[in-house]
Amino acid sequence: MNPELQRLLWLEFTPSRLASVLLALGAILGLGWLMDGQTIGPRTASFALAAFAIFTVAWGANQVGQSLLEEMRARTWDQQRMSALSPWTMTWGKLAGASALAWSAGLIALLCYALGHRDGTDLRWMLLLLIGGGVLIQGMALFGALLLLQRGPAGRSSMALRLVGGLVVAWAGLAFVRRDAGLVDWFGTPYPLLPFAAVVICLLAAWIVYGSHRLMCEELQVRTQPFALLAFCVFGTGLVAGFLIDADTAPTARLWLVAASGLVVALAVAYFSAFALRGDPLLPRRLAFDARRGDWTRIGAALPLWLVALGYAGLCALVARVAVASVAVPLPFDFILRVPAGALPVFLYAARDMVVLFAIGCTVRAGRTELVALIYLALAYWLLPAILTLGGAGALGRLLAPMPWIRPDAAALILLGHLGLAVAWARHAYLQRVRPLTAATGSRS
Amino acid sequence: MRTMIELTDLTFDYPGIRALDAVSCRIDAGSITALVGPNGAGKTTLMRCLCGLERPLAGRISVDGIDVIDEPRRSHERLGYLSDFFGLYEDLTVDRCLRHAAAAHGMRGALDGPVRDTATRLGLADRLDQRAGDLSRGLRQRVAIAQAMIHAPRVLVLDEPAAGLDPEARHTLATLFRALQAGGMTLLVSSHILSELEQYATHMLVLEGGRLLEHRALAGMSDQRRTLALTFSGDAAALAARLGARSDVQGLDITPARAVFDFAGDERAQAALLRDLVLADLAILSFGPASSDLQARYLATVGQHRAGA
Repeated sequence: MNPELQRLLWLEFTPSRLASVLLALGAILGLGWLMDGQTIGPRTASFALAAFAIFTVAWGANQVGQSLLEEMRARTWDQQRMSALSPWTMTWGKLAGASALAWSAGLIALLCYALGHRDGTDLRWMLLLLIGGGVLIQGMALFGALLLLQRGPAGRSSMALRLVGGLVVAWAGLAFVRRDAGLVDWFGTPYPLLPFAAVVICLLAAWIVYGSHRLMCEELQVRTQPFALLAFCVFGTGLVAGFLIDADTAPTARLWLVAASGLVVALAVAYFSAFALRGDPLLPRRLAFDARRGDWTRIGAALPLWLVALGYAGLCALVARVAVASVAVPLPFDFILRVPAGALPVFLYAARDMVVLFAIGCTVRAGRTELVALIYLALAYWLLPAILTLGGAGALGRLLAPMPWIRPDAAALILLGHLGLAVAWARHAYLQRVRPLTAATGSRS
Repeated sequence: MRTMIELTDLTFDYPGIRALDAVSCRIDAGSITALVGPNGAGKTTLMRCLCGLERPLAGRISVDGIDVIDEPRRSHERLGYLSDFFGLYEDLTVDRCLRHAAAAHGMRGALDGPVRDTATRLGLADRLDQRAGDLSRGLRQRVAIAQAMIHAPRVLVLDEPAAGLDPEARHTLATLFRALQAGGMTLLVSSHILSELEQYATHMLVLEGGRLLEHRALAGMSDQRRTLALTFSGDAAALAARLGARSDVQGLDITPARAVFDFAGDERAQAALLRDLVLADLAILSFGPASSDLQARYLATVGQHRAGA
């Protein structure tokens, strides 16, 4: 048996915990059974859904996250990192082991739901949606815990927030899917909402588990190449573009919309990576060292994910920029019409921000970088332009924050200037950061 | 002797600080190496890099022929590590802690034997059913060491293993380390208590400011180099001249009543040296190994380095 799964089963299935869970589950389901007139009916099914959300989604996610964070608090994580378990064994061991009791309770609840459900939804798709949603939320908890692990000691408050967030997402999703039994238009083809949602949720669950595995690889010092991130960007591009493209969309406009979708997805991934993942102020040094040795495997593994996502975004921006010139048909939404026109400036904004975030990482003490970065973003995008505009210096404000969709080529030129300044600052901040090393070791550095 | 650990130009940077500066050395199989140096010398970073817990900027690390940087998980089957700040699974019994450690290090099949044997070696046989969280500091330390060595690793890396142990437990630990060495295991032990390391260390590796100052065998090892001390009441200059003329004497440190020096020779050569000094009428009062070879060597090495710097 997977040793990590075994350890967590030892911890989860203690007699007292088992008795508490069965008691609480019995109380919830029993209440529904009584309200249905001592039979399993619609109210029992509703209470069973609530029990599933409480035990499997909320409590299960909490258990999965805590199983990792507790390792850090108890200082046992180094011991785990020193084990011979593969990242995948560790990932699924934690995911399945920490949530085993929660799933046991959840499966009993789902059985009651199946017996009592009368709302006309297809039971098979509904069960797939619920199970996929449970895995998705628990996977998010593991993913979040791995991110917190990268950042040092974490408190319980973040887990409580995640717990509440999990409940909200679960209830909102369920309410939406149960209320609206309509169709979803995806790439011009109508799909029933429930099966579509179930499949998408299961795919997202698979991605979050795989993402957790990749973070686990990093924790366990196993090198990986950034192909998975690129694959996720492609998946996201397809998913988003499907909602924008209908049967009447012209081929060139489709290309345009796919590129715009790719740009939006990649920029979301880039900003998330830059904020959430562990930054390395010594990155240029490592890359330069490996480049001198021609070690491309190490370079690929060392590349920060925000840089990879930014590369993908740049490609999408170029495609959108080329496509926009040849498109002459109306697009479904006015907003979408504008974004591709400003794709290049939008990309340059992001590139500037990423470089600035790197510079902040070199300048500011670890732990404060996020706060300083948020202040920077607020200043750059909102406060300074607003102050300048209100103060009668609107031209200067437009230089600081040019609108990508109003004269996009001029905006791109201005933002290239921003990028140049950001690179100069980042270079200076980096050199300041590594100066003690170069002073100590001379040319060898 | 076969090389078990090989470090080549190992370099590790923290932002603004070079923690390890091109450290290279080879550690023989079956040796116990005392890793010593002042606070901030890079000892813990070196150990963590060796165990694949930190990724260095540059350099190579090989343990039993496995590249630790390229194959960290595979190398962990051959490595055991006790961190300076270790933790235990408080809610598990000692028995389950050890079973989990064994399985997680790739041991397959029945684990009853390894668990019982390891617990017995560490004096934990009667604590197997106790919760780890209920144990005293010393017993917890023993459980942590047992977890690190249950899979019979080729290399055991221990960061301050005796911290918090009482004198009897320290003595037991020293005996255990010698027994593991006799069984062929290679140990790398970091501690600030040099007298304790001296009980079992066969080699000394001195780090300061991230640089390797010295790596040498201690008394009684294959190169037969040992540190000797003698007290005398005669002419210090004559004694210095006599010892200084010998090729097997190095690092002479002489005061009006005491001399300490490195001697490269076996016991017969040591007896011949004593006879030579007595026949020279140098009023020798006592003659033998320096009371603390490791401490003397460490202080001499660090002193020389700082004087040079």
